Amino acid sequence: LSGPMLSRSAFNEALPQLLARLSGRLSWPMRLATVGAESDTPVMELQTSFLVAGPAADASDSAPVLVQVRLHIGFSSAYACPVLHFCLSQPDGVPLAASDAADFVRVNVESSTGEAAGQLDLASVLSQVPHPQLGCPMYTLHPCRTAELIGRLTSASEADRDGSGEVRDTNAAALAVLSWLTVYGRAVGLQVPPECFL
Amino acid sequence: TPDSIQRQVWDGKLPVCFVLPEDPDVPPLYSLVPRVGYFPALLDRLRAHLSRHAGIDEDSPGAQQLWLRSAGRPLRWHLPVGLLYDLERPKPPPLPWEVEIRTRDFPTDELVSFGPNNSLESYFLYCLKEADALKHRARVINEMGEREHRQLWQGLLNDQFDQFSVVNRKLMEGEAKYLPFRIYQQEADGGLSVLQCLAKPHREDSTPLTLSDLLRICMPNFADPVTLATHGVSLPMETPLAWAYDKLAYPDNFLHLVLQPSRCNSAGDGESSAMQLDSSSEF
Repeated sequence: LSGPMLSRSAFNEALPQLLARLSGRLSWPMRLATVGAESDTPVMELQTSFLVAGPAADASDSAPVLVQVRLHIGFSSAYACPVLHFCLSQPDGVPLAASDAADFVRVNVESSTGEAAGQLDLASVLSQVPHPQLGCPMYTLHPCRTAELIGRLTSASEADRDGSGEVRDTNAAALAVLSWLTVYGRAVGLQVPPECFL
Repeated sequence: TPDSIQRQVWDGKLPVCFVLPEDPDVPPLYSLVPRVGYFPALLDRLRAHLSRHAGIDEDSPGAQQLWLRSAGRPLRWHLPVGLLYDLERPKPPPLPWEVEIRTRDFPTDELVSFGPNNSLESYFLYCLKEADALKHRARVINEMGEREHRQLWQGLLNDQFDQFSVVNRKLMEGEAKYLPFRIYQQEADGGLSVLQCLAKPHREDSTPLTLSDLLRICMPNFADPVTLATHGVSLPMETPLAWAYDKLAYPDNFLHLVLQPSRCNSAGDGESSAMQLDSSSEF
């Protein structure tokens, strides 16, 4: 990996386009929010909320279990890559129990990667942590592999990068974040429509 | 010797008195708690105490959803014990530090919940990973296997400095790209502001970056006189960040700094580490 692919500034600049691409295809409530500052750069997120089918409570249940996902798409300066923070609750707002939250993520990851049940060490990638700016407890996926992944996913050509290898072009940055979201969003049941890339 | 500061930091302990206000007949539990440790590591001991003295079964919802309060506010127990003590306002409480055990109304929107599905160990590792991402693009922590990750945690949990240090040395040595730190400010209304930004060990001219420089980077428009303290000790503002980090970082590999307004003094009452920051300060 040659270097950071994104900076916080580039991420911030790409957010409006990311919002436009997603809200063009998804009817969920969606907004950009400034949640703090890092030196003199605003810390911004795309915040959205949606209902998705949860893991089946048991085989005999005919009613689908729904999970309310509150998702914050932000940026980690430490890893120089996007990061997800999310809350999971029942549709009435009651937070999911920790074991149900873990099951929800596990089922989503396994069904999208085809990984055999029980082989995924969820504890090494999923944690409930304080949101870095907001302070409230939220789940997050450890970004340790993201930098590597986004390097492979980005479709930015050399012309879109500056001397340090950083993605400079806003369009390229937005597409890179969208590509990353296509992969990581699956953990919370988010399917990014392919049309968002057009 | 250089090690002795790190050892003193490791050995620092706070006497804590855990009480159960909902049942005053239950005797308090006294404990010498490591400043660099975490309150959730004591949950099993607290549950055993409640089981023995308060008739609260360890598997009951009350025991399982146990949380801690100090001065009427939930203790943000994802933060190290010493940092929580140093953050108490208006000033650090008298010792032993009285901490309340609560078995009802877990504040789910304020406190991280630690348990079998979200272990303190994995949170500790999450912090170590972020610190190494800042320092070494996570190369060192990723090269370590699970065994060494476990050793770091077990060393901390069991108060084994040598067991911890032999692995931690690898994370702390070598050139760091950015230094992991956070600056905390406890607000009067109970809120906590946490500042973090990217800080290199050196300035553009290759001289060491100082704590004054750090404040200028993190809080560009701030002008009031302040002190930065860690482990209960105020640091001179000309202290190089890299030195402070090497000697005073917590086991999670972060330098946790508490920002306090300082009493500006001309008579020298011992609080000599305040320095007024404004655009006319020169280096």
